[in-house]
Formats: sequence, structure tokens, C-alpha cells
Amino acid sequence: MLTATLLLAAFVPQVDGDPEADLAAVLRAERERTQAMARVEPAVCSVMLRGSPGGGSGVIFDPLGFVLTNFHVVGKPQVTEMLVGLPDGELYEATVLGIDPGSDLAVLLLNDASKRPWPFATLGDSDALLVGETVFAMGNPFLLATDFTPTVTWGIVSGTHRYQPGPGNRALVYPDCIQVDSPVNPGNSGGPLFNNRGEIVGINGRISVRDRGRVNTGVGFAIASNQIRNFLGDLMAGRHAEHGTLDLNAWFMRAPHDRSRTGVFVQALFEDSKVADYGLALGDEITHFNGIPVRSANQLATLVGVLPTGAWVSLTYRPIDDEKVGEPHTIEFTLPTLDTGSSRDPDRLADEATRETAAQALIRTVPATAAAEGATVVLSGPKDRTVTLRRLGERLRIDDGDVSLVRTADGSGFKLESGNVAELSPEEAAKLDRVLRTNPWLRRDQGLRTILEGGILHGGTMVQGRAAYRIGLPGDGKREVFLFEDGTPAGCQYRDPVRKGLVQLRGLGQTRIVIDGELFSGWSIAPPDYDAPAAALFERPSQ
Amino acid sequence: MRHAILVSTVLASSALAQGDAYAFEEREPQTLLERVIDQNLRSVVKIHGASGLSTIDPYAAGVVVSDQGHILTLDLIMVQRDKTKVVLADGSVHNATLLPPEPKLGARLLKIDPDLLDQPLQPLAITKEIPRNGTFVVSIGNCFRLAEYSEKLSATFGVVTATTRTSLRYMLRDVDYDGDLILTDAPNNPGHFGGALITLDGKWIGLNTRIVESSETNTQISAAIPTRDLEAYLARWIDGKVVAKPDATETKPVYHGIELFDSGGRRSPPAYVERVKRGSPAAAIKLRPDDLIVRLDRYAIRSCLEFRNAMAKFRPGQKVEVTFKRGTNVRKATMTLEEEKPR
Repeated sequence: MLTATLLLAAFVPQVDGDPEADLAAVLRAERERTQAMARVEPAVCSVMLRGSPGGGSGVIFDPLGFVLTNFHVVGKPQVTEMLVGLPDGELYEATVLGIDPGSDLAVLLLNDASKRPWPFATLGDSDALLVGETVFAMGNPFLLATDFTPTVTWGIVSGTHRYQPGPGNRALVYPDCIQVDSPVNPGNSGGPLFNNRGEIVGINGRISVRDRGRVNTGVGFAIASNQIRNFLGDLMAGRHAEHGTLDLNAWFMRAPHDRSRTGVFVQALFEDSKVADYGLALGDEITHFNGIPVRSANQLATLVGVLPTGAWVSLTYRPIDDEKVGEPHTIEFTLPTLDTGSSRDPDRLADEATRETAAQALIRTVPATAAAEGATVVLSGPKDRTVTLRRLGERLRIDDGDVSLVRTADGSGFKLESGNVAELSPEEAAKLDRVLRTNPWLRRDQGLRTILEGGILHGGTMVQGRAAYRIGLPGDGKREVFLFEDGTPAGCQYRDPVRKGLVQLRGLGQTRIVIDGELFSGWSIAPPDYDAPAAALFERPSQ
Repeated sequence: MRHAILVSTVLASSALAQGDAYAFEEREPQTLLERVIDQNLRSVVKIHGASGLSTIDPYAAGVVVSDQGHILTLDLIMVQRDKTKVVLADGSVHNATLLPPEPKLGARLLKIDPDLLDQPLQPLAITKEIPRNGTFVVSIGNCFRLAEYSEKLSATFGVVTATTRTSLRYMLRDVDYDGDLILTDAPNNPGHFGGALITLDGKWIGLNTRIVESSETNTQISAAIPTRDLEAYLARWIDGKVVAKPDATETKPVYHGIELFDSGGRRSPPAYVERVKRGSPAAAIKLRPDDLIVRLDRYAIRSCLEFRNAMAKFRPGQKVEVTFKRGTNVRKATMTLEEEKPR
């Protein structure tokens, strides 16, 4: 970090410094910059459709050959094959996986597995960008390079968190984009925007123009990398990424009962929308979204626009009617789907082999250290209810209220230790056994990595406001582990033979437990304890 | 079948204040370039005029040139008496009155009512210097009206390419302008006009003017009117003298690391702490969000405005006794102020 700070500070001449030291600092900054450019260059591609005269750019973001580009470079949801030119001068075939027409993204996979590992660049943190920070764009503007050597343009971040509506029907919206003054031209579309360290902070996709046609005016927009993260699970799984919506329009305006105050007020609302069901009405003031104070209508559109459908959100509002301003209410719900038009295909999914490759790419971040021998996870619910899951080696014990189940030492099934539920059938015991293998908090590090090997990517989800991947475990594939980008567990999903339902555990701390779509509120999961539980706990009850 | 229900309302007008904070959390500026932009963003405003004609934009940027509410902008945008609004960096909207223009340079002063301001204005001072070619510059404005209310203006970067007199065209018509223009390669677009051109040592050197075309070469170029040439006009209208910006070496701003919950409004709210910067003097005395600051040394603090005014009286290195309320307890701690510097 310190090095980075010095570098950035040195970018500009210091008028009152020691000239020799200044020159050395500038030259060092230049060297670092050119080295970063040289390092990422092999990952920057030209993306073309066979038989079409145009084309755009893209970037490989994983050594297995996953490529990010704009949806408008692919063009249509029906397109399945693209051609990708790399700076090695070769043209490769690639399969179109997921698309996000709503905010102009697509992910491709390079077909030639023998070329792995492909050169790649990593995604950076777009929220760390500040106006004035230097960035560079790479791509193939005007398809200048017939040998696919990318063009580099350099400039500064002119603005962050810009909301740019789409040309129509809610497609190609840029809800949270980075405005840059580095030249961006036709053909740059889909290409990466890098920070000084050579991390992908955005995907260049559109420009503002005036009277001279579609060429650079120094106002380019890149889709922020942190927005891309929220959709990456779905895109790599080959899905049609869908955005969430509040189904309302809100304006920044004067408060109706206090003309000296301003705020964001609901001005149009679908009568049958989810928020209306939860009690939000026309004229109400929206004060917070996900705990963040809402200060402008654009900000609200940005906060919502970067979230996929199904993301849990909280909305705080003050009911306002003709007479008075009410007390603030907070409602929590999952975002409904924004309808972006007729081409929507919720069933779109890549083939299993591809999704297995995607899972391999994503579980690479799971830390590979020694597994703990034992683990205890305590779920606390309302009215002092607790469920304790314990693991010792391959043995499992579940204490749910007055019911205690212990897996036998030979692994043949579960024995009821206390309580009065009916004896489990072998099939039910086997299913319960899988809880052991599904709950990622019972498995640390190497153990988790092992159970995820051979899994397939189901898509993406949001857990506690962070993007997570849903990885189906080998076997029936229905049991899922949710994984954050850094490889830490985000939750799991399994079919509970005792409760007879599809159970989702989402996040540590104030967890969400969803059973068959219904939220069980008031539950929490304490951070797991990895000290081995006493062997006595697992011994068979004396009978 | 979905049913949309709509109500119509009148948009905000005249001196309405909004919370001062920018909506998104950001890191601290680290480089000279980031710092220069950060320090000057609050001195440039958004201007909305009457609805435009096809060749005249209804929006532009302006530069705060006095603490009495004077805003300098281009006269080439559609300003109209009683219809021109100025939006400050805190998102507050103010009605502007028009002062007579400077026809030769195409500049015009607007004035907003300083009594309606929640926070003191940060005027920029003109400089007599003409930058050498190749000097790095930052251009701040509102290109394509991308920023609204408290959203941040756009900043672009480039070098001075020339300071010259040239024959110009705008929209295929010759422009009658016989002064010097500072030409730069920092992108300048509609909405950026009237904004500030600033050197990296913080000198305000130019007022962004329209993109012009050289009638000789057809090339479009970013241009700015040197502030030097605007001195006489400003001096005529701003209480007989132009406000000079204090030299940076005289008063070094202090760094304390406290962000207050300043929700804006006609009255400045009590000085509740919203955020404490990590590693700052305030963090060293373990100040926390939701603490209410009630006293700084001998100054009683009843509002965010009083906090800022009192803080301006201190210098880096000075020790300040902070009295604050946490819950029902009143606590005291001594904080050593630091110098505001690149972080």
C-alpha cells in the first residue's frame, strides 16, 4: 500500500522537491506503469462474431479461459459462438456462457482446453477508485490491430458511481459506472479498464458524444468491477443474469410537510408490487436502503441497479399521508425481477462440463490449509431454541431441542439418543449424513476444498450484501455450498430429512434460514468452534 | 396486468438545502492530482438555466468567486432572470440573480443569497500567471450534466497546449473574441463550460469556455479564458475588491478525522459524530460515531457550523480539549491536531 501511495504521489512533478529525486520518482512510476501494462496485455482480447464486420474487446479474467465482454459485442441472446483474437496473433473459438443484457455484460469461455493456463488479469476493487486516480483502458478501437495487439489509452477517473439509463426498455443500463477521460472509442467496447496496479476495475462500454458522431470526447463509461462481481456466478454458469427492482420511481424533492427539507419520495408505484404489499405507498419518503442513507434518486437507482434478483434487501421509509409524517419503518424482502423485455430466458444454463470448469475456477480461492479434526456449530433461534451440529472426524451429532441424533461410529446410520421422533429410515439417515458434508462451517479449509472438488457451478447469489457463488456438490448436485469470492463459506442449501424441507442457511451471525422459501427469522449462527468435541459425545447410547 | 399510479409534483426550487455529504463512501485522496480535485470540487457549482434553444445549452458550471455568493460563469448559456438556479456541492439549490455580463469575454456573474447558506462558500482566487505550455491542468465542470444535486462534478486532466489568440468558430459561425485563450487537451464538453481550469499547485488559471473550432484547421479544442483577464470585471462587482485566497503557506488546514452527521437544512444540526477516520487524531482519543461534541477548548459547540468555525481557529500541532456526550455521560479528552496532508 505504501509503495502504491508513493507511486501515485510521484505521478505528478513536485514543484518544490529535490529535482533529482523527483525525476527518479517519475521514472519509477513510469516503469511501474509500463510493467503493469506489459503484464496484463496478453489477457486483453479482440472479440468478434463470425461473418460480422464489427467487433469489440474483452479480457481474460481466469487462467481457465473465462472472458468478460459487453453484451452488445455479442449482440443477441441467441449467439453461442464468438471468435477471440489474442495478442499472440492467433484467433480462438469461444462459447458464449452467461449474458446480462440488463447492464451490458457477457462471459465467454475459450474452447481450447490444451491452451490452459491462459494469460489473465484479476478483478480489482472499483469502490476504491477516487476522482483523479489514473487509470488505463485497453482494447481494439476501430479494430486497428489486425494482429490483435491492444491499444492502450490513459487518463483519470472523472467521476464515480454515475447512473446512466439505457437506450430503452431497461436494457443496457449502466447503474454504477466509472466515468473516465482516457480515450474510449468504438471497438473498445467490452475491453478492460485497469487501475495502476493492472487490476480490472471496469469494463468499458459506452461514451457520451455530441456533434461529431460516435468518437471519443473524453467522456467514457466503464461498468464497475464490484457490480460485475454480483453477477459473475450467474454469468459463469451460463445464465441469463437478471436484475432486481423495487418496482417504483422515486424523486428527490421537497418534503410535503416541511418545505425546508428535501428527500427522496415515492412518485410512482406498481399496485401489485412487493413493496406495496409490504406497506409502502405513494408519497412515502425512502430514507435508507440496506442501511445506507438515501440522499438522491440516482443514488437509490445505483444501489438497486447493481443487485441481482432475489437479493435480500432492507428498505427504511417514513409513511407520509395528507395529514402527517409517520414513524420510520424498515421492511426486509428479496428483490423481485426486473423485466428487461421479451428475450428473457430464466432457464438458460451452460452444459455440466462447462459449469464444472467454472466451479474449479471459483473454488481456487478456498484456502488450502489443514482441516480441523472436529467442529461445533451452534444455531440459536427465537425462544432460546438452539440446534447444535458437531463433527468429530467423519462422525456427526445433531442436537435439536430434545432430539439428539448421533451417527454411529461405523458410519452405517444415525441412532436416536434422546427425544421421541420415529426411527429414521436408512434413506433418511443417509440424507442427514449429507448435512455433514454440506455444511461448510463444519469443514475448515482443506476439508471444504475436498468436498467441493468435482462440484458444478449453479449460479450466483447475494449473502449478507456480498456476492457469493452457489456450487452444487458431487452426487445429486442438489446440495449446494455458497462461497464468497475469497473462498470463505457463505452458507449452504440441503434437503432436511427431519424437517422434510429445502433448507438454506445464509451467512454467519444474523443468519437467514429459509425453509421451502419461507424465512425463519431471529436465527443466528455463531462462528464455528474448531476445537475437537469430546469423543464421549459421539459414543453410542447404552441400551 | 400491472397498474401504474402516478402523481405529479413540482420540482424543488429556491434555496433548498440537502445533506452535505456525498452519497457514497470514499477513500482519502492520496496523490497531488486527487487532492487538487478534492480541494476544489466544492468551489465549482452546477448551474441550470431556462430551457435551452437548440444551439444554447440550458446548463453549465460556475466558479464561486466570493464568500458573498458571487458565482462566475459563461454568459453563453441560457441564463434567464428568475429562472437560473445554482446547485452547490452539498446539493442545495439556490435562486440566482444576474449581474451585468462582461460582453467582451462572454462571462457573467450570478449572485446567490449568502444568508441562506448552511456552510461558508469556498471561493477561488484569480491568478495573474499564465501557465507555461506543458503545465499539467485539471478541468472541473459538469459535462453532459452527469452530476445532479450532491453528486460530484466531473474532472478531466491534460496539459496546457498553448496560450494564444486564434480565429475561432462555434457551430459554423465565427466567434468574435480577441483575448488570449488557454488551450488544453483536458476534455471539455457541454456542461463543463463555466467550470474551473486549475494547475496542480492549486492555482485557478482559467474559466472553461465553449469548445471551439479553429476556422483554419477545423480541429476542436478545449479552451479557457485566463482568470487574469477577468480581474477587472470581478473587481467592479464584488464589493470593490476580489477576494484573495490565503496563501497556502500562511494557514495550514488542520486534520482531525471527525466527520459529523450534518443533515443540512436551514439550521445547522447538533454536532453528532458520524464517522471517525482510522488512524486520525480523533481515533487516538477513541471518539466514536454518535458521540455529541459539545465543546472544543473554550468554544461551546451547538451545531456542525460552530464546530467548523471553532476548528478553523486551531493550527496543526495544537492540543484541543474535546468535550463530548456519549449516552448520558459527558467525557473529556485531549486531541493533538495534525496537518492536513496527502493520505
